[in-house]
Amino acid sequence: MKILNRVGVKFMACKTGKSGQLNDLKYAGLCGNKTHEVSAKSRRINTSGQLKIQQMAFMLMAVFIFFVLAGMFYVLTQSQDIVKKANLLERNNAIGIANMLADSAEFTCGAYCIDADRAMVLRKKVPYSNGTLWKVTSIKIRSITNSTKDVLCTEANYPNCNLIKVYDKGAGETTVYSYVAVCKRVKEKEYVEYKCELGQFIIGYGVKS
Amino acid sequence: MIGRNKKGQEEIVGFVLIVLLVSVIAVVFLAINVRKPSEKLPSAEIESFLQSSMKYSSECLVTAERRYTFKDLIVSCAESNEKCLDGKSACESMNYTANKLLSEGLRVCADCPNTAYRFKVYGESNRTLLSLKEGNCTGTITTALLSLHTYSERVRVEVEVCKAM
Repeated sequence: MKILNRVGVKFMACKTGKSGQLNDLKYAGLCGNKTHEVSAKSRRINTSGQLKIQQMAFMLMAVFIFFVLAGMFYVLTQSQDIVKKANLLERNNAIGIANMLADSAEFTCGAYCIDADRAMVLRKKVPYSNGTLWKVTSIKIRSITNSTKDVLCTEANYPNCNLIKVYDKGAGETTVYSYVAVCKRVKEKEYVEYKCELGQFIIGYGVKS
Repeated sequence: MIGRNKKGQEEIVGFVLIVLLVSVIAVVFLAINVRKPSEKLPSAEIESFLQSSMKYSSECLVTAERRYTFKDLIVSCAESNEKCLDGKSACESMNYTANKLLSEGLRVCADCPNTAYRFKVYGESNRTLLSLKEGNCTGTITTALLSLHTYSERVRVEVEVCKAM
């Protein structure tokens, strides 16, 4: 409004022809020409409006970019969590297969229990020994308590060993295990005892050769 | 000219205030999200560890022919705390066996997949029979819970394992 008033005064000054005021005018050369005076006025108003629009546009852009960045950060953290959960689910699924195999009639001595004596016999019998019965690339049973390093079980050293290899196709594989109680008959003094240790039922899966 | 500058300054102050407000909201949101305790995920692996541990033949013989399993030790500790032939009580033997099973079954080390574990055996009204823990928890927390029924009460066995994933 101040700008408008000032322009108005100047316009009036041109009309009245007061020389003192005329000297102050920026547009003195145009004095007496009404159309030029009006265009100067509108140019100033337009410039101010454009500035405001520009300011608002920058503001909107800044707010938009801020929210986009915040959103991207949130999505990134959330997706990392999803990947973790997916990995765990995949592993749980593989462990489920190991549990199912450990629970099969050939091995089991109850829930989460493997009969090591039976596994020792199975490793010599077809189709268990060549791995055509199960769709996994290897089956191993390892006792983890009371053993510092792996000793492969054979007829000669059983039961003083901790790793029973039922079969192993030797293919490049990923292994997954489920915990089981590995139970075997052991002679303790004058008794034969059925002793259980904590062990792992390890299955291999992957690209078959 | 001074009036226009003042107006411009007021707008800049407003803009700064809005940016500050949004930043504060974002920081509060992030703080809440980061401090949110990690979700405990049920795990088939830990479940199998817990279930198979219960069948473990301990060193506690109550008669020459009867050896207690880890489950028997927990139940005995919760009820009558019987004595083993070697003179240890059921609770002492349970403590020893649990330490052995956890240290060998859920090994915690810098290169291991397990970063920490917590093992707790508690009766009704949160009477703690055994509480063991090792390591500093980082990564995903996996858990399994088992209920054992004795004559007098229900005993719960809980395992939490932190896995670096």
